[in-house]
Amino acid sequence: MIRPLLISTVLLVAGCTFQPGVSFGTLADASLVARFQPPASRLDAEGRLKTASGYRLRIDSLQLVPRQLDFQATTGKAGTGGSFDPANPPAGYSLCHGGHCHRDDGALISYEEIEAELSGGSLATVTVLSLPAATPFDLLSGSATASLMPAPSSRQLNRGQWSNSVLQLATLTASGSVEDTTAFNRLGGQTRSWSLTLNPSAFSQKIDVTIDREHGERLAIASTFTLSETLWDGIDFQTLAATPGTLVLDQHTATKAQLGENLAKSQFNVTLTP
Amino acid sequence: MSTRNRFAAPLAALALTSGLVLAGCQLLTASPTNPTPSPSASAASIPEADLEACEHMNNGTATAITAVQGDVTPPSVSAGHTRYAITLPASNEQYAGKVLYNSSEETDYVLFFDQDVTLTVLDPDQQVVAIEASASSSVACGTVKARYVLPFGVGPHTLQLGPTAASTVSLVIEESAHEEHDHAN
Repeated sequence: MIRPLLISTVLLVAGCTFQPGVSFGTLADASLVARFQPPASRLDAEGRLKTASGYRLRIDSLQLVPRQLDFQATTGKAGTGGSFDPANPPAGYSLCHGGHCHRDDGALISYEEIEAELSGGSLATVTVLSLPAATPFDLLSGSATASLMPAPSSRQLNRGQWSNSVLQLATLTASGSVEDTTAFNRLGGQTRSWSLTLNPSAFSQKIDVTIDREHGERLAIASTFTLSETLWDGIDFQTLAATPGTLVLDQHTATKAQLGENLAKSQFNVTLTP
Repeated sequence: MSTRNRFAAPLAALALTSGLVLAGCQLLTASPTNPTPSPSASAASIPEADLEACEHMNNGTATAITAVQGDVTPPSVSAGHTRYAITLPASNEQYAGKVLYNSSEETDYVLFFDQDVTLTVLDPDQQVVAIEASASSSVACGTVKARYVLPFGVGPHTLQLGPTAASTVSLVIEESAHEEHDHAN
């Protein structure tokens, strides 16, 4: 009599423990909004964009192609005393901004990981969720939204502690014309056409999200990317205009560097709500 | 009854003495031993723009440029958090010249000079910008000898410096509503 009862009890407990295939969380929604909305002080009466140096730009096309939105978890142990100056990163790293540096092999490494490396720690970043986002955004309209929801079979979330989000962008392309309406008349009264194609750096934002059964099972991700209206600031159109034809901004080394610096002023924000 | 009366007076005296001692201790404790204001309170009253400007005015290397006269496009003094050492051309036994500030934002700016130099600012349409406030010093440091607050729009603003007796002046420009930034950058 006792043996069947014992077996039944063990089976009952095991049944509770080994539930079939339930994840620790489910992705309920995921979206990316891309914006280009200059303030009124940046626009003239004809709707042209004013640069800091006084040029007026008519923008005929402006398209952003994202690549993916990644979420990362940090594992390992941090060391102590491994601080560094982002303006003077250690050997093997460059272009430190927004909480991460570019390693020579092209990888994006967070400040914390570099500090851990310098101090003998062992922090490592693992991508725990990757949402492809290859839909082009037409930013001439000011704002566009894309769903990043993966197929239903890919919406299950594993248990973990998310520490960072990274928006990878593929290309930014734009074209238009430029005039100098100031007294400096740097373009000799001409209206010149211009174009640009950039491969933007990634943008990251620290997050602190726990995926487990105590913190809710459904997670909604809302991300926004706001292209900086300062993108064309500091560009020496006068020098570029010395050559005939369309001014291809990304083919001039100093101009491309200035564009990259200005583009880094864009804002990336992600909100995760259970 | 008489026993109680016999001890009442000494007990009252003891209680009074204890009370006075305790009150004295509290008063002594409450009294400020150092009446000078705390440094944090003092620093809080100094505008952030002045603190930043004085740091850039007193530390680090300056970017040297030469101002221009006439209808030449002036050199730019637009890099943020930078001290410009501006050489002024001679003008009628004094010195004067123009530089250019490319404003990326419509807001109030504060211009700090290490010399007592007169300033006229023209907006992108070559209209004179009214100076909102001027002073011959900054509360943050003694290096500043002229301080001007002006509203800038987006675009190039021409700064006409002088005439002055000084052949070089140092200039630092900060946004009036200054935001914190990383000095490493």
